[in-house]
Amino acid sequence: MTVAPGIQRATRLLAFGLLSASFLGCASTTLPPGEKLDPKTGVTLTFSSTPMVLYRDNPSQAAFARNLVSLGPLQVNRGGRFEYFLWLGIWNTNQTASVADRRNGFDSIVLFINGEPLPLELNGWTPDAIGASEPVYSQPVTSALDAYYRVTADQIRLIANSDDIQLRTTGFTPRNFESWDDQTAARESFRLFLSSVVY
Amino acid sequence: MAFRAEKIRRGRLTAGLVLLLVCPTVFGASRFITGGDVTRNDDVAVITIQFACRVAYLGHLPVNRGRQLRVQLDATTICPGSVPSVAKSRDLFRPSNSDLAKLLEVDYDGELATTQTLTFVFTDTVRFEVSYDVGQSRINVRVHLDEPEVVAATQSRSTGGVRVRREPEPGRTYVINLSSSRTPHTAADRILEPASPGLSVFETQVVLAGATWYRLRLGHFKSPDAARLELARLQSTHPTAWIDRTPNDAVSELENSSLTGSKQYAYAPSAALAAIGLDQIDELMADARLAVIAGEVSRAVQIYTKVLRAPNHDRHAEAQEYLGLAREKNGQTAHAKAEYQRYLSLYPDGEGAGRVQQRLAALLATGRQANQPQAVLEGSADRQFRPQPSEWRINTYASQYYRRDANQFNDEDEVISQSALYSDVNIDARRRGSRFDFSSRLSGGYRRDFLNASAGSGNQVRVSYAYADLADPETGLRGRIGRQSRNTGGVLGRFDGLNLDYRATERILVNAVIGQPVFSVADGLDSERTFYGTSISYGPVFEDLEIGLFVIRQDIAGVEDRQAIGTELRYFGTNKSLWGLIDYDTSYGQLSSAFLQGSWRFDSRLTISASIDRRHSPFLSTGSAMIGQPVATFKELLVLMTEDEIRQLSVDRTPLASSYTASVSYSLSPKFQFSVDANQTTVEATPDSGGIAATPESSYSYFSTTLIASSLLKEGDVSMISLRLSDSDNTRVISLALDSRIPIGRRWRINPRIRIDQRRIWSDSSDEWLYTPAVRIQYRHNRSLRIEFEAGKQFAQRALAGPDMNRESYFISLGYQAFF
Repeated sequence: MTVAPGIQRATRLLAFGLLSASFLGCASTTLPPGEKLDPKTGVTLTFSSTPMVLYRDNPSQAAFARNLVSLGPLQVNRGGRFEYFLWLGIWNTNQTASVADRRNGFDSIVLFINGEPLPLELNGWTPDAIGASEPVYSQPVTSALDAYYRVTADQIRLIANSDDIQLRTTGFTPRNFESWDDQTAARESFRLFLSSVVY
Repeated sequence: MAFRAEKIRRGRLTAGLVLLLVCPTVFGASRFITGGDVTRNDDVAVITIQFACRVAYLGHLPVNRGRQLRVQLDATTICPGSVPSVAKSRDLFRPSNSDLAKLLEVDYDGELATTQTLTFVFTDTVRFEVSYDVGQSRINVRVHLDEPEVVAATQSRSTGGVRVRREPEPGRTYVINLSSSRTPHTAADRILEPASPGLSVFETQVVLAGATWYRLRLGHFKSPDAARLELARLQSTHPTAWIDRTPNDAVSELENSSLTGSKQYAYAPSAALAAIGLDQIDELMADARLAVIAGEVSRAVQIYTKVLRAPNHDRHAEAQEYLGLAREKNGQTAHAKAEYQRYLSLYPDGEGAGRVQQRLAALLATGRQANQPQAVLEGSADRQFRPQPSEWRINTYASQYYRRDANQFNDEDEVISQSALYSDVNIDARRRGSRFDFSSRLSGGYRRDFLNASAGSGNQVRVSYAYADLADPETGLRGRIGRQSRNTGGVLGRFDGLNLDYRATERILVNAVIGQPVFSVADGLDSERTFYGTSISYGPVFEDLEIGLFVIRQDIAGVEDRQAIGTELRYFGTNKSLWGLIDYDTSYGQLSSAFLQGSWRFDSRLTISASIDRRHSPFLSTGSAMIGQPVATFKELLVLMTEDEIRQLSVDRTPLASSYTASVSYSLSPKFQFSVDANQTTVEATPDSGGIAATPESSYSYFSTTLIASSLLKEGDVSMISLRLSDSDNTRVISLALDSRIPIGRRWRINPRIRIDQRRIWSDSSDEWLYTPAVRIQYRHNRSLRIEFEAGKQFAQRALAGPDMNRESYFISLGYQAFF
């Protein structure tokens, strides 16, 4: 049986990659949650190091064209009063869509955590929505839209411990976002976040 | 020679595989015990042991005395700088200055199936206390080296040794050390209900190793037996309490020279709880809150319990809720569930009922709480742990929207272009078994077209997902069969087929996939195309980098459609992010798609980003040769052309498109955010071939600015204004969009918006103006039902050399979303 040269090359490359990855992995870790003091409002913001990623294929634009949503937890500490938010970074690999088009349907969203619906209402598009003066998470691209949704710590826990997350926007043309394949680091990061902020 | 080369190649491969397999244990073989030391001050030595991972303390035996101390731990996978598997090892450690604590060695055994054990072996019987911080990666043992209460009186005769109990010394009294703290104890700590009258609770201070400790004590007992009896009674509320002797001269501890001070409080009689005033309740609640924040959760549990036992105040419900929380934080999942259930039974309509219900649901859903070891949650990291099996859980989401679109040109009759009802349903069913996790999903929709066949698009069934998924956490295997979607591994989105995952380690996921691509959810099975491939994803590497490699091959009607290798990477750091993909077609020897996008936040307000995207558009595949050809299937094309001709045709039909984007965003203030984007895209020319005319090179560019504002008119509103200029070979469009969302009460949201476009059409140098006002209204009836209404109208005016062309159109949509 003969194997196509392309497949042979590919297999060698994969084996090499696997080997390299395992070497690199020996030094791998997950960063602890970040914490910052907002310079203007004085609130203490705690956030995870690695957001989760949800995606939606957009084959009508191009192969591998995707709409993406980064999802990260936030704790806002106002002098001992704790509030929790989810940050969504809404962006596209193909950036031709206008901002208004991209944010359409994100006013109200539904997260499906292991199938269980979790309806969330937008709190705002700017840091003011969480009482901060500047963004906490860095945007994947600057054209990304920040969106903040109020949640409870237990809802964050549900997300952290889930196997499967989906997001559905609302409106007449709702969009479904699926969980990116491997969210190990993000989940670990969520749990680190929880273990440091939730009681 | 060839044989030798083959032998060397095999040798390298074998070495590589061996290295790969042993890597996590060899290169990641950092020790679980990372350090420790012993300090001593007078008769007390403190042993500190530092771990690579965070640990949860479960208990220890014996309680406070012995030659061996066995501490049971539950190690988490939170191991900064080390691989989590390090907790599953054995380790032997001897801290420096061990002799100061009569310590021989410390033995860690992480290979047990249930918990991990840390054994302290002493050279002599010693009295000890174990202290720990919840969720931290160290444990402290205080060793009292004065003299043991029970001594071994060894007779040097051949009959062997016997143990004798020391008789109480005349004039000596005994106390129970309830707790030790670096800060003075609060009023809450001092409330006790001792069984024997005449006892008092008092606090002493002592300096150990240069640090002041506050000891809360109960005494005095005339004999150690009396103290032991009381200690046994207090064990449930003060598990770390221990018995101490008062000085020999029988003076109060205040006068003891080893103490720096003492404070005695009035003894709280058994009815003390009944006498607690409202102010004191407030103080207790505040103390408990501070205790939780300080990580002293056990103390918080005690305080909340006391508040609950005190009558005549109105904070029972609050204390009951927080007691559940504190127990949850303390790792007492079963207790926490019981406290939450008690809350719901006592206060079903309480202010916190919703929160408590949600927390209880979270605990029940996850089987355990988040502070417990991550290994349990990861499954792959520690497969012997399993959350509790669950019953079937079925969640249904349904929505229905009616949509009507109408157009009118000049004074002609109105034309209804759409009148349809869109019904969608998503059913998710899952069950966690004792070993396997099963889940399935059916997501689909139906469009009921009310227009006649000539005017409408017709009825349509759509199936987005229809799959069954089975996972075995014990082996790390997972399989999913049916219509599904994949985003990595070179798979181009949705497909019908089988997807297999194998989690080799916590960071390595190996995948194999086989199936038929789905280009439209309204399509059935694509019988012509079949693909198979394998991939591996790895991460995180260097903290936040995740990488993946893939090999994939796709055939169409028995002919190679595409064969690709590629890589994907994703990095998300605190201030930088990077996202990239390369798909190289080894069959065509061309780059099918390459994409790289990065952003960099210079300070907390300014972020810049750039992206490069080069791809064949449409995607490079042999099947693309069908574009423009008068055939319905690829087999028909094979009849008309040779395979080489078809492959050339597919290259001709898939020109290379290059896109470059740069953008900047700046946070002007908490309420305002500003961003600028610029993009340039070019698409290469295509040749005249296969009866398809050549197309020239084309380009497209845009420049846009957006200003987003929050809470301008009222709390919670959001507004957006954007200006966009786009230029292509055919048109130039300038767009201004205003968009606002205003909350009204808790249930209503109103979203008015308007967009104005000026379109210059180069072919006849005409201008078209479009005005599109619209409004969207949302009503949230309850958590399970939302109703939406949206309506808009567009006015288009195009000035031509002849009569102007005016057009009006409107759309209406009304629908609901419901969860069951």
